Amino acid sequence: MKLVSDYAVEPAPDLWDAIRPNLAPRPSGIGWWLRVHRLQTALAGASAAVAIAAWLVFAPTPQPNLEAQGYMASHASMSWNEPFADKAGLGLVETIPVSVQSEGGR
Amino acid sequence: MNRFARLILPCLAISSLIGGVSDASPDAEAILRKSYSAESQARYTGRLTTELVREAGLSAKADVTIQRSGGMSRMEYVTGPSAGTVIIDDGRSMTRLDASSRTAYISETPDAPEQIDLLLSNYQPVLAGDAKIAGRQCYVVKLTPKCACNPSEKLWIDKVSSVALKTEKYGSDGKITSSTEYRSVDYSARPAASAFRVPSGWKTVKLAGASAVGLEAVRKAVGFTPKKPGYVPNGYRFDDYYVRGTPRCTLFAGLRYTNGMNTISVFERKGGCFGPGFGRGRGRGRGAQCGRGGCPWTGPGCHLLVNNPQARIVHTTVGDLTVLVVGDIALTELQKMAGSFK
Repeated sequence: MKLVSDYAVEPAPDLWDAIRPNLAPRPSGIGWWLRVHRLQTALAGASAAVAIAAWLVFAPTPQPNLEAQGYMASHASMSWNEPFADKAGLGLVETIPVSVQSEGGR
Repeated sequence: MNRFARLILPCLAISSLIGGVSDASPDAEAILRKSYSAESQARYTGRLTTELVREAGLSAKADVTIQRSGGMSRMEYVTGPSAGTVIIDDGRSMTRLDASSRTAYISETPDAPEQIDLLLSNYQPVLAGDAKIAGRQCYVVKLTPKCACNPSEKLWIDKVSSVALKTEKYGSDGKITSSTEYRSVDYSARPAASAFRVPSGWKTVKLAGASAVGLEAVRKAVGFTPKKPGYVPNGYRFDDYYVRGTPRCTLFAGLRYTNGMNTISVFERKGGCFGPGFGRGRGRGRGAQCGRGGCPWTGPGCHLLVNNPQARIVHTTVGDLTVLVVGDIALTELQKMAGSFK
């Protein structure tokens, strides 16, 4: 063990100077990553676009519904002559999009 | 008693009497009744802003110019989603002028001759102070429902003309649903009679069943006898049967219930579903199955279809009838009403 500890190897003084000029500059930034992983990036982008489009089309959130809007407008006309009816507001009801709850709404 | 005293004492007595009357706080019910009468007699022009609360904190806002003469009015929507639309109201019908097609769409509106008494039996008017609206001094009158299940209203009534210059409506949940406020009003203006007529050369279209009122007329128009609900919320009274139509020209029966300030509409039609397109997804897709056994809402029970700040729509089926109950009242009341059809 003593032999090992006494045997210290020192690098040659000009070793690093000899290596440094041969090293390529280190790549930095996202551009390098995108160049190297071109296929993966394209796939990830396409997947995200498809997911967003699917969410917009199939999301189970209530959506405006013309038929329901018609019934709301009919109801507004039934309320038209109530005392102190807000007629300016009722006139606006017909233009307001109406969302229908999913069939689970009980 | 000298001559001076004989002159002064009666004057003092009269002035103290007048002073006593004017010091008495005005009666909210009297203010309300006076305002109700003024609604059918007032003559003026003005500009107002109206705002409807929508879902998720959104709102729709519009500036409107208004001309009123007697029981008639003309409203021109200057900004907002209805910009360009003109509505003429003659007290019996509402005419919507579409400038792009030069067409006037006319729909009859239910009459409400005596409902101020009904309103006062269901609401407590309370004077809630004074405020200035459109430069006019107003009484603020709050209409508090006797049943908490009902919507409420706040009115700003002009102290001189008795015209309601601001209205705020609150849903049965206590949240504000709409607000309309005059920005300016001119009582010296005299609107021309032509303002309340359909312009010459325009096409007029009477909307489906516009003049069909009463059970017989409705039965004839829709081809079945409309059913009445077994339960009606306390304070509501049946008004009449009407015929209504959707933009797709589907005729349906309408029954109107009112408590004097709030209307509950019952719409009925034959078929397993309430018209094509009444489904999810911007009026397409699932709705196409309706009427062919694919309606997602058929079957027993009540289903909440629409939950808007202005009104809810609850759906149920009774035999081969499809029924929609529409109104702003506590959901439990609306469901109880929808569930009471036999």
